[in-house]
Amino acid sequence: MTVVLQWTTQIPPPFTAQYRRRFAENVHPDKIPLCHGIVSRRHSFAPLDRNEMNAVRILLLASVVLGLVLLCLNAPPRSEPAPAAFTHVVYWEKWSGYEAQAARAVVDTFNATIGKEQKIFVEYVPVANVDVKAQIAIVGGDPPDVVGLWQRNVSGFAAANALIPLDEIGDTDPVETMTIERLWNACKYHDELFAVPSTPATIALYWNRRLFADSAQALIDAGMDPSQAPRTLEELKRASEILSVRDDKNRLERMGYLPGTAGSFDWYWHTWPTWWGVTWTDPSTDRLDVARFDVVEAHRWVQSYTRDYGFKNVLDFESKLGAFGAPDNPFLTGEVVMVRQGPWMAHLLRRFKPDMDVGVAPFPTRSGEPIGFFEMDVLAIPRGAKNPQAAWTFVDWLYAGEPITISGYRELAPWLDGATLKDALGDTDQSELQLKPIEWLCWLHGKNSPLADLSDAFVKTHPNKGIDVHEFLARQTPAATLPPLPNWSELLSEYRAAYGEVWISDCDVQARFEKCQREIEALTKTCVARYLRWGVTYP
Amino acid sequence: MSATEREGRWLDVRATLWSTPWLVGGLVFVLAPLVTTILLSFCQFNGMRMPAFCGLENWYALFDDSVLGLTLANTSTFALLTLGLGTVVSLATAVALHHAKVGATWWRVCMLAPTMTPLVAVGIIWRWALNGEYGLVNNCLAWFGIDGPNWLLDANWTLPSVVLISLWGVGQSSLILLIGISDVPKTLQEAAKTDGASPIAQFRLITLPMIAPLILFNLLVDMLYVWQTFAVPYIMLPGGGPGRKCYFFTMYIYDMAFRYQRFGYACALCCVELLVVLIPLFIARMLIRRLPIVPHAL
Repeated sequence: MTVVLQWTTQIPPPFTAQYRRRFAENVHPDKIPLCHGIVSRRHSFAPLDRNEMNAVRILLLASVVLGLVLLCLNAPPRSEPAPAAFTHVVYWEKWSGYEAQAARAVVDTFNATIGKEQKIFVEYVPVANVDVKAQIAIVGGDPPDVVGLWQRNVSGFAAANALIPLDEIGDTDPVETMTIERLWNACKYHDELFAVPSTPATIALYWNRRLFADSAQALIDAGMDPSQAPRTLEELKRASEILSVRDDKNRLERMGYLPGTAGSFDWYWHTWPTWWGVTWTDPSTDRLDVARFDVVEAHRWVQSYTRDYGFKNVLDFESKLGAFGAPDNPFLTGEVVMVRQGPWMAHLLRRFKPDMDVGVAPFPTRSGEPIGFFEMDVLAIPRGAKNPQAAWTFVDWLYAGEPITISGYRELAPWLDGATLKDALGDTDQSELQLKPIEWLCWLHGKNSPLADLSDAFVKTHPNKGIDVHEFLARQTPAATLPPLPNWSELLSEYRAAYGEVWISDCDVQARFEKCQREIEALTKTCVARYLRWGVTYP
Repeated sequence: MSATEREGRWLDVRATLWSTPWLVGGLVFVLAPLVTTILLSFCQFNGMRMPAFCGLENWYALFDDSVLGLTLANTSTFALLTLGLGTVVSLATAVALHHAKVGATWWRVCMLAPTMTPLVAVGIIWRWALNGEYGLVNNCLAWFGIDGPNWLLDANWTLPSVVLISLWGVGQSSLILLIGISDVPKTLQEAAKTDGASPIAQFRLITLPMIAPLILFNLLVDMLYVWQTFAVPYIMLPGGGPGRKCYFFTMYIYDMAFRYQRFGYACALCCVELLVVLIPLFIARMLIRRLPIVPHAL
């Protein structure tokens, strides 16, 4: 028996009356190809009659009307329009949640004070993926006047001629003298200043003091002080082994420390060479080299650390862990005793576990000498901004503006009780906490201050009780940060891919990092060629 | 010009007018971006400086790009597994639904429901279902005494996990096949039955050949989707997951364009994707022409 099929690609004509008639006359409904109608109850296809067509039209119209109504009901509130005769400064920022509230409050203060005097109105616009959108806005010729980027964006944007050097707009010297030098330098590209720090942060070790106390005797037996965090990587490893708990099947129930996770709450894989005491660049050649003996050794240590627990065991354990910004964050639940994090941890602790006894210490290093690894958010003025001078006035005010009191921010700082305030103010004449605008921003975010002159009140009233450690790391230790490379994100992806394999598998570390180095060199070579075409020197 | 011709011409004009929005949309949102993409693939463009013509540099760079090789291998493996398994599963479910005696309508709704779920929600649900410790899948496997793998964290299991997730959307293909199966004339099957054909023989010799064009159609449409797989793996396995085993071609294009600002190179990659998708489409077109077709056989 031979069965022969029909396959039609005929485009259906519009269902006008004439066509419907022709269909009815010429084609049996069961023979009309699939795309010519809708499924009937007989599972075959038939053209729509007038009533059905009307029903479809009504349905479509109702959907459109309903959609428009819902859109109107859920439209985001329009920000307050700039008063007439005021210069309108548009400020795009990446923050959301409490961070956005803080930034908005500071912007409101500007608008109500110096902005009013100088007839400048700053409009705060929260923007997700701000780097990507700013890039599109800049090339489209309609960028914001101020944009809040990440430090890692500065080199790439500057090399692409997308930011205005701040020295071309205003006098940056006063701000420079107020700012921590290393933060200021990290905002430069080829010795030109393209941004200023907005909210910096250093990375520290957060440790669960209660769990340390619970294992006090074992820690003492191992030669450690249970009231102190580990100082060296070897101490970290020893403490972790003691603090880790396994069930009767030898499966991990708690880990002292995890040198990596699949990304749920550890964003700092790239800091690992820093704790080992090595730099990304080879000091002898001044080029990025991850296949060097020291860098490879650093990662061999990571691999051996996980191997001791069993790779599968660690993977199974990791499956149980919750997300960072949730109550089941493994540090809050006690599943992980020590974590590598920034000062914003204070907000997470206050929100989900205010009674937790947490210690903050410099992250352990190989030598035991603390190293301050910092990263920061920055403010920049894009090329093509309509009001760069007014934008600079706002940025300058954040640093140079008169100290302002907490009265406008009281509801954003519920942790600040009378006793803490009294202690912070001491014998001064002040009745209210006064900080510079940039300090308020960082204080409300729970991050470090970028100011070289750190005020006592900032530290004493800060939401993070361990901010003194973060500030120490930002100022008084050898510092490390991201290399100022325009293609850093691309290189970092290669590094993360290598680290992701090394920390959780038995691969050959040397070979993996040699492969990573080859990728990095190929990417760098392409980048150099690209920049040469634009007449820009790759760092 | 006769009245019939005038009426025909007027109908043509009306048809063109009705098609205008689609044509304009096609020009603005399909053709123009396509041409721009091809042009930009010969330029160095980072999204911020003006594009600079660089000849075939981006195209030469494709041959030196080891990550491109990785993503092509990953995507091809994923496509083969997904299309193969997807076809078998959708065909099996279509046959099962065709013979379902109870609640056939509800089963159909259930089959289609997953395709209406937002992709982000799908990613989150599956992330939970495939959790190595608490996940639904491993708990079900545990009933049979199987110690399930760590689906999303073990480099050896991430790709099979994403293939498994992709089967979540076979409902649409199943329904198309179901309609095809329902339209197979009963007379043919009855005749075969009378001649002594077993149910398997009936399926193999009558149903399968008659729905072959639909299977081919499903394969082509699914292939387009599979090659563009992005949202679910991007949400579930950022950066491609352990060992970058799920770093797919479209994810790489996105990263190149929006994370690394290499729009020119990303455009060259888009052209490669277009070619990779077009070649099987041409092969399929040739296959369709060779299918033994007799008009009105249905």
